[in-house]
Parts: sequence; C-alpha cells; structure tokens
Amino acid sequence: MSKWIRSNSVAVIYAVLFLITALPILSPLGLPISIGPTTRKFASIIDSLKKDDIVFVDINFSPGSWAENGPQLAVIMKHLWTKGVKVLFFSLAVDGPQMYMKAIGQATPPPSLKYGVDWVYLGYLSGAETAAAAITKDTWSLVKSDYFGTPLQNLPIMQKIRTAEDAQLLIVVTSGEMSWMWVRQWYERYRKTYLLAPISIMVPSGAPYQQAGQIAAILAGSRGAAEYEVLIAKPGEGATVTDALTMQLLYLMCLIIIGNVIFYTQRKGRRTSATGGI
Amino acid sequence: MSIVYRRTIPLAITVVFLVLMVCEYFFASPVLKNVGLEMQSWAVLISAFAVGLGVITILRHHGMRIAKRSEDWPMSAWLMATMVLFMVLGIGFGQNNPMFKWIYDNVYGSLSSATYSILGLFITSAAFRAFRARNLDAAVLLIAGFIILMGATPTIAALWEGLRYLSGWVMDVPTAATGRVIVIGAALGLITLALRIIIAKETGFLGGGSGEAA
Amino acid sequence: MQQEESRVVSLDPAIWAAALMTIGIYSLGFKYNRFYKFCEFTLVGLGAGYAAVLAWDNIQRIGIRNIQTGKAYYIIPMVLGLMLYARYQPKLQWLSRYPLAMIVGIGTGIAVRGTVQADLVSQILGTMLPLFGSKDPLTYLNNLLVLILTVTGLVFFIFTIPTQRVKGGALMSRIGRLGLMIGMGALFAETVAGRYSFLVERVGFLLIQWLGLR
Repeated sequence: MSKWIRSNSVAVIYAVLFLITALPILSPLGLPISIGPTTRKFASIIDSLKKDDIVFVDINFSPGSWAENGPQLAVIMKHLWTKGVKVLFFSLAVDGPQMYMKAIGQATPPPSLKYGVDWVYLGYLSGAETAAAAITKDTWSLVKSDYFGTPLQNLPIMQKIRTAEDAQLLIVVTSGEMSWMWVRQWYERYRKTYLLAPISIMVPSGAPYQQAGQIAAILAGSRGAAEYEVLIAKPGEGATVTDALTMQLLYLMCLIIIGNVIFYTQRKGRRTSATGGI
Repeated sequence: MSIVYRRTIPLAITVVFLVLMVCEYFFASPVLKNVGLEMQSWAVLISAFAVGLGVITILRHHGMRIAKRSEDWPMSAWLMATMVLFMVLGIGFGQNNPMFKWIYDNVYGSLSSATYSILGLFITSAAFRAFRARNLDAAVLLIAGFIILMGATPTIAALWEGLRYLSGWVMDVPTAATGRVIVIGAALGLITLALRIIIAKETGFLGGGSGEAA
Repeated sequence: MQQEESRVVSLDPAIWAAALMTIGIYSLGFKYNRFYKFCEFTLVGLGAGYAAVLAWDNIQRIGIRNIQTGKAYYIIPMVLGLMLYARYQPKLQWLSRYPLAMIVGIGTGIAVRGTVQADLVSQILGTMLPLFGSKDPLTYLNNLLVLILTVTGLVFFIFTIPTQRVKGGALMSRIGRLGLMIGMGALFAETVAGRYSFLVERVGFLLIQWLGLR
C-alpha cells in the first residue's frame, strides 16, 4: 500500500485535494471568518460617500475569473445601493456586459432606485487605455448611448456626469493588468480616490501602489469578498467558498511541512551514513 | 533608395507618433487632444486587423498538419472547425446569437475557468515535492509565504487576530518595497525602450523583409 | 445555468457540456490523455475564433461605422490594417512595416507618458518617508525598512557594473535578494489562494449543479 502511494504520490495528492474541497461544499462547516484591515478600509471608503456622490465602476473581467471577481462586484453593488450615490458602470473588457448582467441579477437594486436616475451602464468601451483616458476626460465624447441604446441626453444621471472631475471615486473590478493603467489615468491625472478589487494573484503587485497612496485599498479576491459580505451583513457567493478555501490552504501548509520534514530527515540520514555514524 | 522606404520612413513614423502621444499628454492643446484621440482610435483599428494574422497562422499550421496527415491530425481538423464555426456564428449572426452564447457560456467559459483552476493542482504537488528550505533564501521565501498563507486562511486569521496584522505588515512593508523595485525597474526599462526607438536603435519590432540588417 | 431544485443529476445539456469540459481539463492532473487534448484543442480553437469576433467588432464599430457617419478618412487606417497582410508576400513584406510602425509608436507613447509620473516619481516619493520626529518608533522602523529594501533591491538588479566589487555592493545585493525572496513568497501565497478559489468554484459547480449532491 505504501509502495503504491509512493509511486502514485501526485495522484494521491490531487485526490485528497479534491476530497477536502468537496466535503465543505457538500456540508458547510461554518468556520469563523475574520475581517482584514484592507477590507475594512475598502468598505469604510465606500461608507464615507455622501448622497448623490458620483462613483465610476469599471467591470473589467471575463467569465473565467468570475469565481473571484463575481462575488466582489456583487457585494460592492450591494453596498453602493445603500449609500444613495450615483453610479456609472462601464466595461473596458469585452465580456464586461455579461458580467454586469450576472452581477446585477445577484445584487438586485432595491425598488427605490431607478435605472437612468441612480445608476447607468454604458457597456463595453473598446480601446483599453485610450478608452480610459477618453471616459475620464469627456464621457459624452466617447459614448452616445448606454448599453441598452438609450441616448445619454435621455438619462437624468448623465446630466451630472461629464468628466472624472464630477466623480468622487473609481472602483475597478478586474482580473488583468488594467489596474496599473488606471493609476496613470485616474489617480495621477485627477488625484481622486481609487479602489481596486483584483484577483488574489495581483494583490502583491498592487502593494507598492497601495503603500504609495495611489490605490486607497485593495479587496483581495474571493476571500476579500467574503469578508466584505460579513462586514456589511449581506451574504453572497463569497462566503460559501471560505470553508473549502480554509481546508485547502491548511492542506497545502501540511504538505509543505511534511515535505520539508522528509527532506531534512533524509539529509540527516545521508550525512550520518557518510560520516560512518560518527 | 529602398532602405529609405523599407527602414527610414517606418522608423520616422514610429518616432513621430510616439512624440505626438507624449505631447498630447503634457500639453493642453485642443488640436493635440483631438489628433491624439483620433490616432488612438486608429491604433485600435489597425490592431484589430493584426488579429487576422494570428488566425491565418493557425490555419496554415494546422492545415499543414491535416494535409500531411501528421500525428493527431483529426485534432487539428477539430481545432480549425471550432474556430471557423465560432467565427461564423459571432461575425455572421452577432454575439447575442443563442448558439454563440451557448458555446461561449458553457464550453469556452468552462474551459477557461477550469484552466485557471488546474494550476492550483500543479502548485500543490510542486509545493510538496520542491518547496524546500535548502538555504537562507529559500527559508525566507518559505516563511514569508507561510505567513501570507496563514493570513489568507480565513479561519486561522479568525483564531489569532495578530496574524492578520503580521501578514498585513509583510504585505505593506517588504512586499511593497520589493514590488516597488520591479515597478521602478519596469518603468526605467520602458523609458529606455522609448528613447531607443526615438534614436532609431530599436528596430526589431519592424520585422518583415528577410536579409536586411535591423 | 440554473441550479435545479431536486437533488438529481442535471439533464441540462449546457451543464453536461460544461461539466465534461471541466473534467477533461482536470484529467491532465492524473495523466496526459486524448480527452484532455480534445478539450485543449477546443479551447484554442474557440479562443482564436473569439479573438477574431472581437477584432471584427472593433473594425465595424470604429472603422465602418465612422466611415458611414461621414468620417471618410477612416479609410486610411483600414488600408493600413490591410497592409499588415503584405507580410505573406515576400516582395511586398516591407509594406507591413508602416502600420506596425504606427502601432508601436502610439502604443509606446501611451505607455511611457504616464509611466514617468505613476511608476517612477510617485514610487520614489513613496519610498522617501520620514525617518524620525514622531512618537511611534514602529512607523519609523517600517519606513527605514522600506527605504533599505527598495534601495538594496535596485542594487541587486544592477547588472551593468559588477556590484560585488564595489565596497558594500555585495552586502546590499544580498539584502536586496532576501527582500525579493519575501516578495516572491507573498506572490506564491496569493497565487495559490487565487487558484484555489477557482478550484472551489469549479468543484462546487460539478457537485451541486451537475451531480445535484446538494
């Protein structure tokens, strides 16, 4: 048995990983979640918005990263709906419209809010940094209508939005490199607050920008979304993954420890036999 | 004469547009602003045509494999068929076409998500087999990684609040500093590249035209 | 994809397609097999097709629509885009250099103009933090550490002069390398956490939406 395990160690590792991922999904463990300081800061910045403040939100990810960015977008939407702010949604990623429709299905606005008055979605804007520069410089020059074809002049919310100078905050939900482009086009040009909700992999790359104050706070992937959901008491998809994520990470740490113990034990054994047991 | 229109003029075009884009950013001139915006649209449009080069390359490569009946040529035929089908559906009937959306959501989306996630498996086995504290560098990497991992584990962080602040410190101080090194290095590299393009020392991007010295 | 209410295996072809694609990709973890190869080729084919659809969308939206609304000069970038395909004709390959030159010039200009401020000046300013004068010693320790790790990290990346031979260069390079190891450890940890999140989502889809186990 142990010989079989040794010769198929990779398959065993994967099988155990699938098992410990599956068990908490099928039977949630209800493990406690703590809320990190950056999540608190992210939420507090949105909390500090006043009624009728204008927020730009860039939905900049594809279906492949929905697992991390989807819960982030949904919980951010839920929080924004409670603040009485005006939200301009748009997408610099071509799959953005689908992600917007999916997220708004999960974070349905309350009946008191009206599309076109309290929020608007402009759809996909092609051109990456070009589009980012254009939408912040002169929104009306870039698009003539919203995603659903309504001319901008027929949307009350758009009467208050011309440039980034009219806004108080930019939130970018992204899986890609657009994050650093927005530092150039938003923070450095207009010195307005920039909140970033990236996938976990991008968090270390964002650390220097956060430390320099160019990015106010970073919401880290699905666990950041889970913490946010707990913080504002609006459960969603994010909180469902934390049990499984905890088990997976504990498993990984155990594997690393076991691997190092085996390594040092074998190395000590080799040294002992090399010195003839002395 | 041929070197003028094969090399000199293209390099001059590059320099002119590079300088134009930089000037558009730094000078508040309505003329520059409008020209800059138009040129950026042109660049997006020309880049769209460049995608066709990739499609042609795929068709040529896999077409050759099918013609020569290379190993697994049916797979190449399948690849070309899916590519052409998806293009016909998307271009001919629009991205809101039900069949296009069905394939995109259920096939392409699932394949993308699964490909993203399979790296988790490989990282796990690699961590077990290769992640060893053999020397000081590896030990430092391992310890820093462990601290962040524990901070990223929701339940461990809930049991010991101090761990949050420790992992936050690792992220805010040493990780931010080293990330900064990479950001500054990349910025210096980009500025150097731009200067090299301006003085016509960087010509590799022109490509094309065999036998000509860059 | 709607989650079915009864706990039975889904009969929805969309969910079955997504599930089979996911299992096909994951099968690579155990052994390279033809089913995985089929899924891989499907992903490549659909990805290339999708890129072509997006490119056509851009050509329509930016090129054709602008020409139709009176901006006839958009014929120029359309012609430039078509000139890219001249690279397939050996005698006319040089024509493809013109649109390439334009794209490179505009792209480099856009990238470099914001980089100086955002990635160089602001990052350097972010390193120049106060080292004394306040009541909280930990803040100054952190500021000093950020300064040391940033400077030593930059020294580590100097390859044009032999830093080992400069007085103190070897030590600075060593400290910088250790700082980079901390950053790499943090990157490893966050990468793992991110990939595991995707894995949880996919496994959840297979168990709940496909097999109906919950």
